[in-house]
Amino acid sequence: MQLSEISLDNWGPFYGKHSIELDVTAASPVVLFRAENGRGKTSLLRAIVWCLYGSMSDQDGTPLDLDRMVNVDALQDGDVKFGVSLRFTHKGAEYVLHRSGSAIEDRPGKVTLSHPAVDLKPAGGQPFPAAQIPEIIDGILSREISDFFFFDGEMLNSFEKRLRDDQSTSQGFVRAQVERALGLPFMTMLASDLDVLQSDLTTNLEIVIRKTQKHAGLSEKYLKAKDELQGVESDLAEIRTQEKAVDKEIADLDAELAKVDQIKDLFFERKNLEDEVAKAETNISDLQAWLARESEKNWWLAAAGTLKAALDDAEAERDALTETERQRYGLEFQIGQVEKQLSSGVCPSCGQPTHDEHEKRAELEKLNAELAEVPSTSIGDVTARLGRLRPFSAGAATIQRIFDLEQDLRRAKVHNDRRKSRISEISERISDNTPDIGSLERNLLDKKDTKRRISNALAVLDEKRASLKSSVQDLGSQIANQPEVDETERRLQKTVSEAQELVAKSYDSFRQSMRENIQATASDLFMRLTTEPDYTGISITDDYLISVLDHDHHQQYMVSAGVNQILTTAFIGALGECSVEEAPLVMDTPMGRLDVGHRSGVLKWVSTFTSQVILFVQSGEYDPDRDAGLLAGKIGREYTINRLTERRSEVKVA
Amino acid sequence: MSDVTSPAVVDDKTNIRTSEATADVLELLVKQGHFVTQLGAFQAAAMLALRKELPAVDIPSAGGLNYNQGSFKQVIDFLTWYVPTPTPARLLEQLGNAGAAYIGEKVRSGGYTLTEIFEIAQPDATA
Repeated sequence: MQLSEISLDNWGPFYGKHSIELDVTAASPVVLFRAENGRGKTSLLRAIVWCLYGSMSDQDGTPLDLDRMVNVDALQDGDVKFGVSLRFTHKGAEYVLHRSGSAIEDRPGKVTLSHPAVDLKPAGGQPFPAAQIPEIIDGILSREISDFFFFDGEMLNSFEKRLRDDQSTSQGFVRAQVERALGLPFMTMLASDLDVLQSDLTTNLEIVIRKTQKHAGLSEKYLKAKDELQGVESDLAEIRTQEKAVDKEIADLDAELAKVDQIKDLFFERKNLEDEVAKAETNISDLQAWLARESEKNWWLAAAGTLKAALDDAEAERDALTETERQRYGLEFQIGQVEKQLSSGVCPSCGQPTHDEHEKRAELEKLNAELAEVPSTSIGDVTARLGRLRPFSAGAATIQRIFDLEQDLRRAKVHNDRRKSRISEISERISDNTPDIGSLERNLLDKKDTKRRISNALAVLDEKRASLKSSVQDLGSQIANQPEVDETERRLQKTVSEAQELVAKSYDSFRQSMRENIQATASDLFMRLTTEPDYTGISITDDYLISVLDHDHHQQYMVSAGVNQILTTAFIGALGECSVEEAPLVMDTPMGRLDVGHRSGVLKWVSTFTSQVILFVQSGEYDPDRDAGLLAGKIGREYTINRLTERRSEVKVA
Repeated sequence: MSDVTSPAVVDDKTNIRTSEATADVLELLVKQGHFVTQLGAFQAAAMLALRKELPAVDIPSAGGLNYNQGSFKQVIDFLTWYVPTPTPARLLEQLGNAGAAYIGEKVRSGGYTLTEIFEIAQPDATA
């Protein structure tokens, strides 16, 4: 199976419709999504899981309500459609799987979902009937083993915790995972069906021989052994039910304890936010004080516009007065020239005698009349006024500074309000989730003790059942061999008996071979990932005890947390690799807690893949400049997830 | 307002009084962080009234604040030549109280910025 495209409609932080190409080649099989926390990496992983299986889990493994994945902004638009489409290829055929629904927010925080729909179409073909879709998808990649392929950092933590748990719990866990990868639950069902078939056949044969009133002893023995077997099986079924209930209680307690870790994270997030709020408040106070000083110093700001207009007016007045002065000066000069001509009889410019005195006197009179009309000016007053108004001319720059400052203040306050709101939200969550850790841990130990007792009882009963089953089968064969039994019935009984034997033998040998296969693959993977030269691999013993091997191939059960993380990653990787031929490996923030050396190991391992790998990483675990080389050119597609608003993100080609 | 010669200040007030309502507004302006002192806020209110040409308001004889006109030297000098007026302290008292009354509602409701309270436009718009 390879994913070609995912389309989202109002999913998580992705408002509206978004399509992301995912198809890659064997030469460059890695699809890399880079994004900081909270941008939507996990929402994309959940979109894939939900689209395939119609349900998804929270990071602590508990089922996640679908309404939490509907885009919040879209919900505010009213009745909203949401959904996810996956285009994928499997064994050369292309399919489109689309899952959708409608949502409406009845009141804040209360979302009602309706019109759930799922649709699977092969390329160019007719849609499959809806009832068949789960079975078809399960056949492509079983839900049972899908978490070996679609996992996040939290799942790694959960696996890691189980592997570090007490010996019997860890052994049980490893065995259960190996059986999941092999598909052993299916074989168990097959064995059970054969048992029923065999029992029915033998019972029928026993009725036949009883009717002949011969072999009464044999009949009696068979019926007694059969009754006893039924009794043991009934006890086994009951104890298995109890075991399931205890398993669930253990899982619930584990989840509760995982929440304690979350609470710790929330506590530290709140503490950081409180520090940030304190710093921001100091900053806000500083900005406010600066603003107050500015408004105090520039007391005239409220009239700055008027003062600027007054300044402009004064400048215009000064210009007009200057022009008037220039006119007056021109007229006075002309009058002076004419008067000189009249008194000397000679033109002062050219030195020629003046002939027309009458004309000159008329000109003088005209000039004097014009001069009389030019208003007398006092430019000094305007100049003085201009001098007084000029200090206010800086008003525009000061006002702009104040506007900028007010904007900074507004932003700082909005950001701080958001921080405070998150603090309140965290406080509410913390106060609602304050489990008694000691009591939870004691309870968990009790349950594990109960589980151990149940496992012991099951082992005893299993042994007894095997012995009884063997007796019943033996007696059944004896009955089948009586001459009164029909030859065809005898052959059928024999065939079923042989099939039972074959399944029983296969069961153990399949599991054994799968264990060895997983051990070899995990060992190889562990050696690629580890930075510790003293280790030589991983061992999974016959009784499913997993450990790291030192340089002398001795099992090491006490290893550091870092080595245990690598052991876990190698184990999950091997389970995936051994369970199906090909499926995309989708990892959400898988390297968050690894050091640089181990991160390099994981990236180098990813670079060896030829099948699709979808990797969601944040900047703390992957730096494009530093780490792209480790993927050795295997990146087929690279995207960044960017925040548009607090509740919206978009995916961009990097 | 075109006569730049400062008139001789005659028979002006030596103290400048505010009404109780004005005093409340001034106190809020300081509390809200818009000004360092109530005196600064009063001057700004007066300048707003000057710009808006707000009519004078009645000042009851009791209550409110009482400032010495010497505290407002810069503004009084300004009003003397800018308006011009021979009684700048009296004018300042009228303008300050009128401006405070004008902005009172916004200040009391809170949540406004300095530029919103004093209706100061961004420079591009004033240009």
